[in-house]
Amino acid sequence: MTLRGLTKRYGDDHAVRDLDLEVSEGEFVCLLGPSGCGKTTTLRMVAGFVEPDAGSVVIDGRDLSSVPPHRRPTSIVFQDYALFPHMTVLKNIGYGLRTQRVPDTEARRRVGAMLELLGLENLGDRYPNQLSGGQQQRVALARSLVTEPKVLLMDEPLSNLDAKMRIRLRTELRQLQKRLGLTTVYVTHDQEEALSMADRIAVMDRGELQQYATPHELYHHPANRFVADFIGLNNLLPARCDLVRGGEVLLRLDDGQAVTAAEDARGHVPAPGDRVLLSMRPEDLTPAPRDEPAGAAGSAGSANRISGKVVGHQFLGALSRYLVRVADQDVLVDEYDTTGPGTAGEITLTVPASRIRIFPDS
Amino acid sequence: MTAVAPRPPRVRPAPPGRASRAARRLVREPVTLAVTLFIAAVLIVFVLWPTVNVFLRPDAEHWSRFLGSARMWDVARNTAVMTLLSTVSATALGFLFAYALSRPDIPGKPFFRIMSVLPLVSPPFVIGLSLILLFGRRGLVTYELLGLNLDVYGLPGLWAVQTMAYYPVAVLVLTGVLRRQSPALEWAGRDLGHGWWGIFRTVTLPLAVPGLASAGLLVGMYVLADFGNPLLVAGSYRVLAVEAYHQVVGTFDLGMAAVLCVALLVPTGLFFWLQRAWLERRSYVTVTGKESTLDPVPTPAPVRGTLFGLLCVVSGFMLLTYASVFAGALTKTWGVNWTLTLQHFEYTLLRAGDLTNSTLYAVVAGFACAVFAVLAAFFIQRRPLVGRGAMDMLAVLPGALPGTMIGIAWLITFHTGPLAITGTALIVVLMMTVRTLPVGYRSGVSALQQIGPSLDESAQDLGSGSLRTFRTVMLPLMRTAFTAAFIYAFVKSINTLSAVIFLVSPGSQLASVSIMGLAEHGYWGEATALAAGLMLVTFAALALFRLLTGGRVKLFEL
Repeated sequence: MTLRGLTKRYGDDHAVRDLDLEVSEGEFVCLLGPSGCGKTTTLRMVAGFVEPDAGSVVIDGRDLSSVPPHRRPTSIVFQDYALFPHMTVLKNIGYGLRTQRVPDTEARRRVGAMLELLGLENLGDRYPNQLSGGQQQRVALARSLVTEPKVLLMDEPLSNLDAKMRIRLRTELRQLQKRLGLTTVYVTHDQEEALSMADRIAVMDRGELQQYATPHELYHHPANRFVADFIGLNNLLPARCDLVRGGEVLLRLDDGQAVTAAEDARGHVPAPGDRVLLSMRPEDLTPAPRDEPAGAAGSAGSANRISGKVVGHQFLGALSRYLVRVADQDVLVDEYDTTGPGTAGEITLTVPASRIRIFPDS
Repeated sequence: MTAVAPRPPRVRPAPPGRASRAARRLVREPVTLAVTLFIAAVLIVFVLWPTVNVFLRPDAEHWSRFLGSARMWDVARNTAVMTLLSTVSATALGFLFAYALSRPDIPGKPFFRIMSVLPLVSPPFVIGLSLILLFGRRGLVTYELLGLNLDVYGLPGLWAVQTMAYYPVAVLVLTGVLRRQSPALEWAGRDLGHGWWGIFRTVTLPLAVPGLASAGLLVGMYVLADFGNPLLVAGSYRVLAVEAYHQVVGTFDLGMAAVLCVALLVPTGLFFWLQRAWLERRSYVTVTGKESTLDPVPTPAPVRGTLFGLLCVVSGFMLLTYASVFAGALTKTWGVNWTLTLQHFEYTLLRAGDLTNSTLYAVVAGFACAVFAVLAAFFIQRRPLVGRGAMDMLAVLPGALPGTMIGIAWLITFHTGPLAITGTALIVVLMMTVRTLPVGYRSGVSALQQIGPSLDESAQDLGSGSLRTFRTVMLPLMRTAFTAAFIYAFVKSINTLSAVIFLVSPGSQLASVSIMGLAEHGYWGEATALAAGLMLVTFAALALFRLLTGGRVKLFEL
């Protein structure tokens, strides 16, 4: 499936602007972004509910621009499931087959197979209001899958479920998708969901595509400040570039401390004198009391040592999270060894040069 | 020198405009286009066209004749006086009635509620009919029992009849308003030192003012447009609706009739518009979303007694009214020979086709109204192609038009010309359908609002086109709205008079129209037997509706 230059305006606002996206067959792609970023509008343009102002949706080499929703080879699972309340589970699942005029015996077989696939065997005669949220979700999925869509669309399908059910269905859904080799576009605002399920994630903000990459790439090599900030926790510290030299960028924080970052081939390379933002993940910063040399990092020559003062501390079980004041900014620091007493007061943070990303400060 | 803005670097085809996109969708979905065109055509031909004709028909001569005639000014003044008096009295009575019904400590409320709804579901002119039976020249009460020779014809009689016929409208509106008032507010008033009267004066009544205004406008609209009662009891006290009728049947002066229609429409339209604007603003919101667990403030015994007395008197009068109609139907010759007889019933039910016609046409119209209303609601609200606002307006417009006006408008439009269908049963059924369309349409729209758009999209997504989506998903979910529209349209159609009176022909005679003729000539037995028959059929239909919906849905608060 290919989206080319997809654009949708509401009045003067761009809901989606000039979106290009390529989804390979059998791929699971997440559209991720804050609410109002255009991900749902994109999905609805693919399904055909929203007419794009420009651009096209192409599936299997066929441009769907002039195809109404009921003739598109897509099927959507809604956030609220949209099960027909006046039909039983069987009727709901069989609905799409009846519209496709699939012969009765064939339809019965396919619906039966679908019930089995999703573990709904005993619920065929129930009505939607007699099902739990998780069961409704499965019925909605079965109803979409049974029509054998070329592309399965899902609009935050797990967001109405409780946390445990969400995690369970997440795994189930992904396994099922892999088994069926189903091309899937999945809209979510939950980054954990996206990171755990997707082959590739398209991060969107204010109608524009920010980065389209694998979860791993996205986390470790965010393309811009928005992605760095949006995916996972991140510290953004303003700094000035002093010098670029032999694969290293020498920088200075606003309080004069020197920091060295490794030049990132995929990242931004500043010129001397540029204002930049340093991005550092909390787990890449290692805290140590000021007078002690930091253990592991002490030996590595490429590690930075940054001074700061602990102003807050949260014990979260698996980790300890510190709020550290560095150059008049608050920095989050995660310490994974929580058996010790923890640190306080003036401390030194160690961070390898290769774990620092640089973005232009605009 | 003018600066030339740099061209945007990206070269893309200009996005197509709104119009061409709409056009593309039309071509893409031919079924939607066809159905939308059908709906638009019906609305234009049967709502817009006749309405416009009423304004186009009269020429300057008609207008100058109307404005220069002292008689017409009398008629206009009569109408205004009658409307003002009846509206005030009916609204006041309705408020007291509704207030009494909203008190928890008044016994027998279910009974009183039914009594207040009866006039809404029976032909409005039965009140006029029974007034003559009870208090007329040969009235049972005035002549037989009291030996008086009273003349009820004229303004006093009309005023009384209109008050009794339309106070239920106020009750209906105000019961809702008073029910929404939180008891906590009254308790707060009491807590701050007020007694019952103080609370009523400073809390209950002021909070009900918007509701009162809304109810008053609605009552005014009905009173102004009413035709049957003035025809029966107003005598020489002419009002606009009756005058327009006489212009048509007496002299067939359609131009003058149209002028009178416009004169009637202006205030009615104003009331309608004001009332809707009012409803939309509904200024005092006393619903907080929190369920109040407080019981209402108890009513002091003397007040309770007075309210109960009022309920009894009004309901007793209503009972008497309906009893007199049934009594009239069973009496040989009212006022002369009081022997009991079944001959009138036998005549009206078995030999005359009027009641059968009324029932049959109302069933067909009810069905047509329900189908069209639900279809129109879906296609106008959910598949808006073009002109959604205009179609929406046309669908509710008949609700603002006085029956007399629509009747005359149709006579003007369909008597000659491309669609000459007067004199057929079809035009009668169509009229019934169009007049009940606004309520059916609105019930369809509000049912749609309960159905999330994702259900609709889901059906499309699974391969259903517009019609199939409508048939397999929307219609089943709107079934209750459909049934409600059907029963409402049936009840209103079987009892309707003011518009169809212009359209019936010997082959398509209706009971309501016959009753008028029979009453005018003093055939009280046949007239009342027909009226009784109408009421029995109506009540049976309502009972059936209750049975069908299991009492889940309230129609006319029943």
